[in-house]
Amino acid sequence: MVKPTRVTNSIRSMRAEHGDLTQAELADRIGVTRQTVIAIEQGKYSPTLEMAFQIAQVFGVSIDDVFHYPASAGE
Amino acid sequence: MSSQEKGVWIELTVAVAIYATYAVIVLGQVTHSSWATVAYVPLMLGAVAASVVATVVIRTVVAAISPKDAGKRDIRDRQIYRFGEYAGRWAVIAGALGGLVLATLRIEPFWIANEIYVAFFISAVVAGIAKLIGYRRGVPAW
Repeated sequence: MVKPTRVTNSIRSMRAEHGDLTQAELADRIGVTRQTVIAIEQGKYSPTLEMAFQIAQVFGVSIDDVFHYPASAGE
Repeated sequence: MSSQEKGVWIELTVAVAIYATYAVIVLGQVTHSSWATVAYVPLMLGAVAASVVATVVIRTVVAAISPKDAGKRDIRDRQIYRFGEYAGRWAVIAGALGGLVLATLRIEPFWIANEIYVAFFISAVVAGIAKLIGYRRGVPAW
């Protein structure tokens, strides 16, 4: 069974805020396929740490502005 | 659909089509005569060669039709490829062990060859399906 990732992200809204950057343009800038950007946006794929930094750099923000991880119970 | 995912569909379809054709021809010959007289070696070698050639030709044609993303491969594709190959590996191991057991029991080469060939086929199908699950539902986290 495929375990869904708990990492969520704001890539879709950030693309809209950055002049309607397309998925293809973002993919080109971080050197992946458009399908990978789609999979990340839909939460079907957790990017590598390096890819997450690259995405944050494209938007000029820190990594935790783009990616979010829920606090575990008890925190 | 990425070019790598198209490649998985092509490999899977070719594997199923070629193996099904091989099985139908061999079983057809077995029903008409004894399995010991079936000329399976040229059929099996032909099926393996046809799989390789058909996969290369279809991938080339698909790349020519949609050249934009042709050959593009990123880290997600590599992770999905690794996951698929890992999922299908057990069938190759089981096939090799089965071949070893059949050989030690001095079973006819016809059965040993076909047992190993079907193991390769199962491995290809399991790997292909696992890769498609990776593309469609996501890469599983270990």
